[in-house]
Amino acid sequence: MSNISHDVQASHKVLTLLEDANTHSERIIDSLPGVFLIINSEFEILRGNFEASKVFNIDYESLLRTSFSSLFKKEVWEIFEYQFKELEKKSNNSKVKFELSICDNSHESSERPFYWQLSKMQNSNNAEGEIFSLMGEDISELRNAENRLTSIFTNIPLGILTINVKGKIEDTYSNYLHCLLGDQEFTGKSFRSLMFDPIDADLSRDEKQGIDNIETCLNNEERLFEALSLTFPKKIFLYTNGDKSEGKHLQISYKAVAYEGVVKQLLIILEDRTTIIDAEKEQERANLLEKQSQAIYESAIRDPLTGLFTRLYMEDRVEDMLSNHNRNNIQSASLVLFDVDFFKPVNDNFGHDVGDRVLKDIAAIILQQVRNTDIPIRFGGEEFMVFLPGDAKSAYLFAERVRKNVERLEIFADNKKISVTISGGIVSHLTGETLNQLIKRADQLLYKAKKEGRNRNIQEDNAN
Amino acid sequence: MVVGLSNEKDIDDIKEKLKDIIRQAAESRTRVHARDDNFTLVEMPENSRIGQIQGNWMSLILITGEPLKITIKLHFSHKDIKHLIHPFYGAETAAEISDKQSMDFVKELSNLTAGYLEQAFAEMSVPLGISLPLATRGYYEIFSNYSPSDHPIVKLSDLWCIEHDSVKIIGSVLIEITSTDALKNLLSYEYATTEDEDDDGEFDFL
Repeated sequence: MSNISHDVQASHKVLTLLEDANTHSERIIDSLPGVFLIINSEFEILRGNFEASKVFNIDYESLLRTSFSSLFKKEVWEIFEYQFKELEKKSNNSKVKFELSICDNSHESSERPFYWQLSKMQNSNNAEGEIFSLMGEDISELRNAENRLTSIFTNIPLGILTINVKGKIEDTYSNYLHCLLGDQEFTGKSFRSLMFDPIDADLSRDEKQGIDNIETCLNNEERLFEALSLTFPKKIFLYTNGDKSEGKHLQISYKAVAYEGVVKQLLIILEDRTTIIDAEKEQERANLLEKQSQAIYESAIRDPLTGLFTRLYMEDRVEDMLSNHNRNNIQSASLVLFDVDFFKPVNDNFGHDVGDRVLKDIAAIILQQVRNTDIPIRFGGEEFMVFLPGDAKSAYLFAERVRKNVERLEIFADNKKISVTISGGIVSHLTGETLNQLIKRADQLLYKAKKEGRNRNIQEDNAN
Repeated sequence: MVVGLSNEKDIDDIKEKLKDIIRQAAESRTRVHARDDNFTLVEMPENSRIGQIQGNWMSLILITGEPLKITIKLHFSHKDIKHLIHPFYGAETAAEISDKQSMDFVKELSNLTAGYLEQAFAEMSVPLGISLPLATRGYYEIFSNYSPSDHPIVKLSDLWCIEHDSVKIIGSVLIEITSTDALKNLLSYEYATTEDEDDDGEFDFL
């Protein structure tokens, strides 16, 4: 075989490879997920892909020479035509991008949004005039997702809006804005006039400066926003026509929308906190009432002279203690019943003030000796009770400590030292025994202690 | 630089002869390959211009030698070709024919046409070689340059349509002549008629 034949064979092989490569590339174009078209200056289709055939409902091979304008409604075609004309004025390889919804003429209800890229192509002959490539991406899914998001925004209980570089409202994103600011058209209105002018008299100097700063940030560097946004009014009470009864507590948040580092918009979110603030005020009132009630209750259960509990309190707490003993929640419960010896003569000889001092000092000793779990009560005139979770023996030891401390008390009246003693009866609660039965038994022991000479405690076991 | 004849009429005659012989080759080979003598070469509509896209697909082949280069393109649609050839494959409908079978048919037609021309020029002592026929999308035609010229290389083009029974195969050709002198035998070349042809539809060209 001659060299020429080898060359021819080699050339043929290369051509075959190139043809295969070309076929492969063309198949990729055919299978592009979006619409791909090549169109001449008469707006005739010169080449399309499978998606174009599907979208325009035209047989793949019939796309050739189909008039592109015939695929659309007049108003849609006019937009395409405008874009073609604009591109014709530009140089080769220029492109324009735009969004336009299309539907075929037979299914007007099935309109689909597309994002188009129209490019001017270079060609070697002018037989077809200017040549354009057109790529269209179906953005229905994107729009659906946007619509779902918009729907959420629209129904969210927040007022969402954007303001432009002039401080005017550009877009609103929630219906709730009408609930917040009244049923009106917001677009184009000054945000400042709408939000802050009606309450100008209520605004502090700093808040007014913050409002000025909002406008300063617009069309300025993003970092200026970051610094000044701290001063923007965040909480206002907005009302109109001077009627505060219909006013709303609004919380305002600001987010810069920057392009190339410059704030071109502010996204502003208004939250109506009126209900929350009203609830907080209600809560404050409730807390105050509770404190007042607590104070009234305290005065009812505390003896103002001695600071000991009253009989009213005894009925609540002591019943609980005895019930716990009945249910074996505590092993034992005891009662110490004290009575001041010869108290009447003190009152008679030195007056009630001195008598009150005696009672106060004895009560102080009792309070010093009790534990948190014990319940000290002023039972009557000069009678004191202490209920203790514990047996009679430990109650007796307690009673003795109190008695000895009282014995050591030094009270002076009319330059005379008054000696005071107490006597006590100590009993242990019997399961099932009522409070009155318990007190009655303690009272009997107290009587016995008085009878035996006073200044002593008698415990149940001792008595026996 | 064109080498050869200085007589402008001779050159014009050569141009016309070249167009005629290429058209005749295209028409006769189509009839043979399509097994249908009713295929006829007709002029394209007046508003058609060479360089326009004439079909979704095209097959192209190059015939080249010292004095000239001929690039022939056959523009077609699969729909037409499948309709034409499905009986050859024993198919009942055109839909049974694959794109590849359709493509191979037109590539073979290009090959037959080029082979016919190679033989014709060989009879005129003008040795030519032919390339492999290739097929691609028709829109690549927009990248073709058919601008005519007389100097330094004579360039001319032609456009035709061979059709029958709604099947159309459009042909376009670019002829580039570097030596008219070598083509002078073309002036006295007589076209073979169908009766003169000794083949029976089969053309051995390789």
